[in-house]
Amino acid sequence: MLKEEVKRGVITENPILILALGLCPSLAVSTSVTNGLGMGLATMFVLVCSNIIISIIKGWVPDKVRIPCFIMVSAAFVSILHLFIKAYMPLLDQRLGIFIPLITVNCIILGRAEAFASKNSLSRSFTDGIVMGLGFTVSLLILSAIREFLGSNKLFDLMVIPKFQPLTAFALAPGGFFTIAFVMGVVSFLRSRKEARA
Amino acid sequence: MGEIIKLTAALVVISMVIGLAVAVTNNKTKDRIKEQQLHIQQSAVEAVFPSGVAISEHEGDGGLPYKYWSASDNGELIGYAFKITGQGYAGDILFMISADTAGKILGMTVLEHNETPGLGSRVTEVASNKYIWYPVGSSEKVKPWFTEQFEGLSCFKPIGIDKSGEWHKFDAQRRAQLQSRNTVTAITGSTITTAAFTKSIERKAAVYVASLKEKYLEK
Amino acid sequence: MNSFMSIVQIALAAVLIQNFVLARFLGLCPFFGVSKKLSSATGMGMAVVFVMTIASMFTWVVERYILVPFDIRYLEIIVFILIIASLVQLLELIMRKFTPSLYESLGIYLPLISTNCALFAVVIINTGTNQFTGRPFTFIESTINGTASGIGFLIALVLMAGIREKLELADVPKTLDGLPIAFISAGLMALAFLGFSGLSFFAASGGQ
Repeated sequence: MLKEEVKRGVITENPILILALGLCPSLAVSTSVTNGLGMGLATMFVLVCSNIIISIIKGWVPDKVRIPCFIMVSAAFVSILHLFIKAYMPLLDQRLGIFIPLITVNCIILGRAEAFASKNSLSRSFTDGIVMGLGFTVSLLILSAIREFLGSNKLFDLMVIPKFQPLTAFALAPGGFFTIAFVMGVVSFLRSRKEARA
Repeated sequence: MGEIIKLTAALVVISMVIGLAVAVTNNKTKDRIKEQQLHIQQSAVEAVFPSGVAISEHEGDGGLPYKYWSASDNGELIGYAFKITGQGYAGDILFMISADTAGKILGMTVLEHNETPGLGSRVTEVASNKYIWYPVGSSEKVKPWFTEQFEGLSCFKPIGIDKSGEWHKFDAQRRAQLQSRNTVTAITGSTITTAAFTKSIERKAAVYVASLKEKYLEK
Repeated sequence: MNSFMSIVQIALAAVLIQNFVLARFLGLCPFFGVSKKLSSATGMGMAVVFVMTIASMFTWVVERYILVPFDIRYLEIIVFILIIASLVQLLELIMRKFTPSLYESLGIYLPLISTNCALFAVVIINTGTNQFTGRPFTFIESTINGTASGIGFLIALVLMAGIREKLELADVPKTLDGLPIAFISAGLMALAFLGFSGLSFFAASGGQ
């Protein structure tokens, strides 16, 4: 059961690579693995918390104002998270900058609230938050590992291969687009091969 | 009509609850956030002075920087530190610089910048040979090479830019040669970023150091 | 003169140098979602310019005269998202009532805008310091920043739509069909836009 759920979040319904949700933060912060990991965990926190609250209040909120309520709940958790990051991890705040407040408008949060948490039980919404957050974090790690290694010959800010001349373009904006195109291409290749076999 | 009241009530209750939750969090974290900001500033000041000196903070007016720090060792004034900005490739670069009364630069550290990753952003690069394969190495703090090369130069004379290579690859002899010519090396591919530092030191730091010197001679 | 320079610099940076889509990765969802046809891309882009300008003005006033005096800047995120959502609703109503022709061409894009991260990003950027003057944004500066960021978005979106209309006819490898090839085109555009970085009309007077 758990294994299936994880497989759903990370592989079959991967938020970035399959559903193409939350593209802005995933391209903007994937210049280093540390940033990617920080962003992934921060988004996961907000996703899990807002999923929990929304599945609790779902029966009580009138249908017409449901979307504004969901947005406010996620904005509240982002504000709380932002204050905690500023207080306990100021370096992460400096590195991610404006992209922490922007978690509020990440389509993953509202998308999961509307498509899942507002229709399912508390425990299922909680699991959904965890596995979707995990899928988001894993794809961010893949993208940022490729970009940090090719773009600056580093991983976690540490050098990787002596004398390797990095391709700076990968650390810049164009590299972000090329990397995600390549990774999505590989994913769709693997899927089509699997379908052909089945 | 009844429906509108119901909708409004729902929105009001939700906004009150979340407003309260965020306000409580803010109350709990407020002091800690202020402390962190002070700590960042304090460690920047400590980074530009030699270790073990007594540092005091001042507020300046007139031709002085609006906030500056002075350091003294056994009652003897060593130098001052203040923040200045230079126009880089993508917006301003904010850095802290310290100099002694003769205008010799003691230390520098970059506080904020928006330079291109991999090019201008290398102003904060540490020339370490630390590889991911041996992460447990010496944990000594290494200064970023770009700002370290300014140490010992004079801010009263124009600082030249040398494009023949990067300072961290040079041996002691070539570094001494550069120093005698009051010259720094450019980051490869980022001359504009490098010039942002040399220009603003020439235009702003020199003026500040001169007026601070005047103020302290008066006493 | 100084304030004029800073306005020109803001506009130049927001439109070309740090283009919202191609350099800062903001507003990517509509950038890929609405760029299949040139006409809808133009409509969406215009609507974004319009809403960004108005949102920048409103949030600046709220920030300066409500959030800062009452020391509740920590509620920024919640307040801004509410302002944007209600502003978009309000605009939709006003447009439908008074300018039906404008509503017909831009109206359908308005609901899509309220969750556009570019719009939220520009009002958050306006609360920070202006990187060219080192001071907080003034009312004029933040309005210009909103308009110029919107224009940057419009340019990127229209260029992208032009490319994608041609791509329809191209023979794309099957695995790259759809989003991946759109990403590659965007990457090539971003590469071209890199050429704008370092562009400044005031390089000679820089560093003052």
